Amino acid sequence: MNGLAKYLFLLLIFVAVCLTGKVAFAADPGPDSATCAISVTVGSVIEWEGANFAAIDLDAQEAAITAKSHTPEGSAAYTLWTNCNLELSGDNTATAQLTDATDTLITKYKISTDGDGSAATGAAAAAVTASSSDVYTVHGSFLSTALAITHFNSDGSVEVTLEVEASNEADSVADSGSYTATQTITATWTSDN
Amino acid sequence: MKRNSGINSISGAGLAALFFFLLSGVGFAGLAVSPLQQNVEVKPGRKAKFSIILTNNDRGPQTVPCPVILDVLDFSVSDLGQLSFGEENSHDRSAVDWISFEETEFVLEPGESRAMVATVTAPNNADGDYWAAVMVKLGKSKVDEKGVQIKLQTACGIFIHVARRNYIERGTVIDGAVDVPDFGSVGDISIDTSQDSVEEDSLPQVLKVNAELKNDGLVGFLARGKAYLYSDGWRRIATIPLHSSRRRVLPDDSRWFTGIMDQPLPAGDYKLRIFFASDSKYRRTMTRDMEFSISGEDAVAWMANYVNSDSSDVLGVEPGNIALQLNPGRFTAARFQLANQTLGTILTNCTIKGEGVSADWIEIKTGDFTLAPNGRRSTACVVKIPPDAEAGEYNWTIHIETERPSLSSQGQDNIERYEIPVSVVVDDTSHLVASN
Repeated sequence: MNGLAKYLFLLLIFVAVCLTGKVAFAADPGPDSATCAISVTVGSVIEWEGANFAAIDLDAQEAAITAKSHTPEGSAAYTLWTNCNLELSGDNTATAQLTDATDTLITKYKISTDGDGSAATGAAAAAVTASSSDVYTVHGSFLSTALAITHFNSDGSVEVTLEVEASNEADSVADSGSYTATQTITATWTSDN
Repeated sequence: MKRNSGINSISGAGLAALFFFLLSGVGFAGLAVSPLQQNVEVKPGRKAKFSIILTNNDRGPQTVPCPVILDVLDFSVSDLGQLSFGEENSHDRSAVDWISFEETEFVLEPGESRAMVATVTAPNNADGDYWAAVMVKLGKSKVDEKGVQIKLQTACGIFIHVARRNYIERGTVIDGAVDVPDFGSVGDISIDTSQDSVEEDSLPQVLKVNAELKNDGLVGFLARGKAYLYSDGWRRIATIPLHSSRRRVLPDDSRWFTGIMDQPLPAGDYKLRIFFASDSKYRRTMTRDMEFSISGEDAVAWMANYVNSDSSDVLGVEPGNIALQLNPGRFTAARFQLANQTLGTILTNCTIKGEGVSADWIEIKTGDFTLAPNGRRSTACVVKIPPDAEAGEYNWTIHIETERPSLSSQGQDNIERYEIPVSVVVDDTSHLVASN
């Protein structure tokens, strides 16, 4: 009896294996249709990118101020990725002026782009002139007229270089100390976006 | 020898450590923000949502986590279209207190993208348009750093419409001026005719029309303006498109628009009608009339100093054609750019026509705008292929009409036409379904 049961059990397993094998090794059922829902929104994008976003250390980039006439300069470069026109504006408050809490230095800024909007994304000559972005401007007026950046179709990035110059007042020498400031560059929308 | 090798291994390890230290300090961080402007509609006393997509794009092993701060701020727009942000620019139609994010300070890991959802809660008594900006600030303040710390940020404009009823735009042209060249005793002036040197404020030989439009209503509108020039009574001799860097005029704001014609006018008395309309369904026109005259001496000097520096084409079109290969159900956009190559303001109007193909497949996002002298603008051609589209090639043409300010009495046609062929090859090797 036990032997018969064992035989039947083995037969059952054999049949099961054969059937499942038939299914598993069946012929390729051929191509099947599949659908995938896709939704895409096309929007304007601005992306700031930079190395470490370190401060512009004028001492390190040039030298500390050791004479009244000394006007050290420094710069930093950032990449702006964009698919649209945009504007750049600066901070015109006292925060953007170099100070050691008791005295201040004349702090001037200028900004430039590696394109002119005609063959590469950047600021066109007319926009540079209108905003006076290519000449050192005192912090209170820097980019008070925003710099228009024109997007060029095949160029998705523009290198923005910010330069700073520190100097003493015409009739005095600033107190000795460590001077700091914070400049904020804001990218804003235009009519196009 | 053994000793030297030990020194070498120590110095090698030191160099490696120094290299690692230096490399670890040169991390790259970035933050992409999209979109830059949004319109939100909400009913009085109700809530609505909008989102801003923030991405720290992974550009390689040097990409580092990026701290982000979201700040909802007031902003104002000056009459010249300049934006100013912060509390000092607060106004009666501020939406700052209506907008809230669940999280305003967080860190985006390399490759991470987040949709930051904001809730707009409109008060029961709200009526019309309100606005605020979301300032997306990159990085954290570094207190101990020497020198000038640089902060980078991106502003997104949020325009909220509280739809209590239908609104009619109400605007007035509150100021206007016509600037004609004043040659005075200068006589002959030298003019730099290179395109790059031209700027609106220093063009000596142009007719410049300035008009200030004020919004007296409860809703903002996108204004478009023209100045019609008449002589001999009311015989129209030229149409000058008016341009502004920002043509959305918000309630209680005013905006200067400028039109420039670079052609000399003969001596005589002229009338000028400034005309504005909006893009909306319930558009209302706004006009203002002015008069001016050109003396015989000025007309002669103007003509003598006039140099036609225009290139042969009024408009630069880039690219010359658009070719796409798409699957059924695909939704994409191709950008094209238009450049004003003249010294005057021009008006462009883009329309799209298919050659035996449904026009529903393709649409131009914004096809009607004014360009300043040497101004450029790119616009998107949005293509949506139906899921059941047959394989094959489909063709359309973008027709661009450009109107430039020019004296029509000279028998010239002031409209120039351009075309961009659009070709879409639908490939049926895969079959996709688009959804909204």
